[in-house]
Amino acid sequence: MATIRPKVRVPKTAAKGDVILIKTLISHPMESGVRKNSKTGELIPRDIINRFEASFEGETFFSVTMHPAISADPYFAFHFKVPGPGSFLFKWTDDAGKDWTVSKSLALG
Amino acid sequence: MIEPIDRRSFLVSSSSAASALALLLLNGSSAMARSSNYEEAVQEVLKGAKPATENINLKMPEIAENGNVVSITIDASAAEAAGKTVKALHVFATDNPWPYVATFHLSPFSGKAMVTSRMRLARSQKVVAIAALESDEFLITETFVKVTIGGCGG
Repeated sequence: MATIRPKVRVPKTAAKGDVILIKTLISHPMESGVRKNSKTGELIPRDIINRFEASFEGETFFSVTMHPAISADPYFAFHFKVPGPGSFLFKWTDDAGKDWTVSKSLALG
Repeated sequence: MIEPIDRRSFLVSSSSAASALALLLLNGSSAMARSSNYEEAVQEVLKGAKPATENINLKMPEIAENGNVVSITIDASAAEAAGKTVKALHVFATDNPWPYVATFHLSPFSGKAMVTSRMRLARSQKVVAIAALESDEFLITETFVKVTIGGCGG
């Protein structure tokens, strides 16, 4: 499998009380478990990211429960109301329990 | 209204599809995920409640050329403007082999109940979004997407 690479776009600075847009993307095949190998006819086992969590200063403010109908390379755009400066942690977890994280910091400005 | 019964019985009659379903059942991570039928999946969320049809908007293309990647935006910010708190946004594809697509869980720090993602559509069908409010009320909306090339493989 190709390397799984998460990406997050958040503003570097924002004012307290602002609602900011956050965009996340992770490269992942999201194998649905209903596709067949075209040569052998065997089912390709399901292998998806089933959970995404976005937290700020240790508190989860947005999360997603995913099923196989989420496209390959899951993309999310969502919002966050800035309570002050701090750091974000973004975490993706797959069916096998393996996870990938990205952290970002936000300053007031 | 779509009629999933015929397609379901056809699928079950095919042994390979039945084993695909069995594999999915084994891998299902929650009770909700085990629903193989759209109505059942929706009732897992609504639990008999009657949803309102206002203050929620589902934005998708009318025609999707590639069913593997269909843009979807669920916007319940009108409910917030009306003084409600949105706890979660649920998405269902009425005619996918796996109708339950995803749930987006929000919090007071989510700022705005509007989420964009990308989903798979196996064929032309109705997509349904449900917003769960803090007040235990529900909002529902639907849109029909025509798919030129289906997603989900097979």
